[in-house]
Amino acid sequence: MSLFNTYLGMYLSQCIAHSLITLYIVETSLRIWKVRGARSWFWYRFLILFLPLIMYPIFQVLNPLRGSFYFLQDTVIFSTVRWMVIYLWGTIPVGLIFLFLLFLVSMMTFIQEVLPIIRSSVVLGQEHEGSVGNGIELDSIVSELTQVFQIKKPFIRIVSDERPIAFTKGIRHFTIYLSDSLLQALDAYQIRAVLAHEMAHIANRSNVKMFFMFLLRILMFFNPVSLLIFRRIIQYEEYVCDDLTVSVMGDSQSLIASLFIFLNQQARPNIPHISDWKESLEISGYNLLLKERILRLKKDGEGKNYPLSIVKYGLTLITIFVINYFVV
Amino acid sequence: MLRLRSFFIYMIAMSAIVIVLKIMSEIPPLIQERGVHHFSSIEEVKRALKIQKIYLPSYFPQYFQWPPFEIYGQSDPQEMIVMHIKERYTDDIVLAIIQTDLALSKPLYSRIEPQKIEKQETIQIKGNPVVLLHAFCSDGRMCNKLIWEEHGYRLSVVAKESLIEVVKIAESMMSE
Repeated sequence: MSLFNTYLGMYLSQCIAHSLITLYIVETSLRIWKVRGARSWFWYRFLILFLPLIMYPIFQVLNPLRGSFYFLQDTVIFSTVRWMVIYLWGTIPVGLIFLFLLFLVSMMTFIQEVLPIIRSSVVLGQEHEGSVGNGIELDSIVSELTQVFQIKKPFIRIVSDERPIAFTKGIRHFTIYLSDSLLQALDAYQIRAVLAHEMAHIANRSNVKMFFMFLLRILMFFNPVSLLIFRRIIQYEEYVCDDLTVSVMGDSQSLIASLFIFLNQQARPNIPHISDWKESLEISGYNLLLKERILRLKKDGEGKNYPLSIVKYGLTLITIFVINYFVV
Repeated sequence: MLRLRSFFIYMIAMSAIVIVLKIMSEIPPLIQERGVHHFSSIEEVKRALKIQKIYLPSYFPQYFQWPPFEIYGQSDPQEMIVMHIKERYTDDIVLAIIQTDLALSKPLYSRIEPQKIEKQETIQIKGNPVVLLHAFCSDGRMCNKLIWEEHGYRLSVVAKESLIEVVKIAESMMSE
């Protein structure tokens, strides 16, 4: 297991160790500090996704002797190398099992995140620029919400599709896509909620953030903690935009009603040739996230803004760095 | 008061993870012979590691304090012993002896590794080619190092002593 004496091996083992420790520190901090609000949850859990990627290189720059024999013997509070050289039943090194687990996680990342992108892109029906949907003047709603969110007015595109679709594309110039079937299913108030939610994503720079999160996820393709945390972070971003929507709408009912339209959607023909069980799993996962959003809105539907405490966040950040420095 | 209580609970929770990590780090040497172990005496090293030959000096200056205050060793995956000796009346480390398997992938350095090498040359001691480094340590003291190979081991001696004394120490370790 001399791999774990190389820079690559040390990075792999320490990355996983740092992730697990950061996960403990962040989750404990959230409970002890009683952190509330999706925005705060997002930034706390962002630390779990981001810091393990960079901690080892930063620590090595600060102290090149950090991986040295004497640092390991005298100073560390936990040595991953010591565990990697353990032989289970006298034959199987723990290091080999560790590498096998990383391989499995890497495969899961490839199947879950990369393969769908390689195999297909979203296939939408015919689209056109639209100002009216279901007899409702969309342009006036968008103009009003643009003022509220203080953003550049996005384009609206209506797609002919039997699936309920609402998403935003763009990083600097934005386009909101809505399907005609969705517009048919919603009343004016609910359409306003959907548009408010999409424009909340624009105001919150969700596309940029999610792209960065996805990049982190891919860079940490081998990390099981990233596998667990990534989806939760995406969900918190939805919660943040739900809260913004509720604060603009004044109540959560219209947003809840519109979310029910998306619930239990059946076919997902945008991923062709996919096996039934995987499709069922994806739909189940998607519906679970929608249900969590609906439950959350019903429980705490006032869209309160809980500011992030810089002192507590800073203390958590410092704790993560200090403890992980001594984990080699 | 509530904030102070939260802070106190936070410190306890963080201390707990540190303690758990420290305990977990001490488990591997307890459950198996592989890897590096800390020893309190040469006799303990001989009993535990069953290394074929442990190279020890039969000569060193009188103010060096024997036995070594620190001994680390392993026999699996590769054999390795590193020991450090202090000066008798101070706490300065003055001698380091490192014996490693030639197959050891990463070089092992002493705590008093030379920082400023003035000159490097190869000499012969008892028929063994020996690399001799004329050097100074980080504290500015003379810090000379000898490196040679013998019977499948790489041996290095670093001493905060004159070249003559360091050569005498190394010579006393070598087989006839």
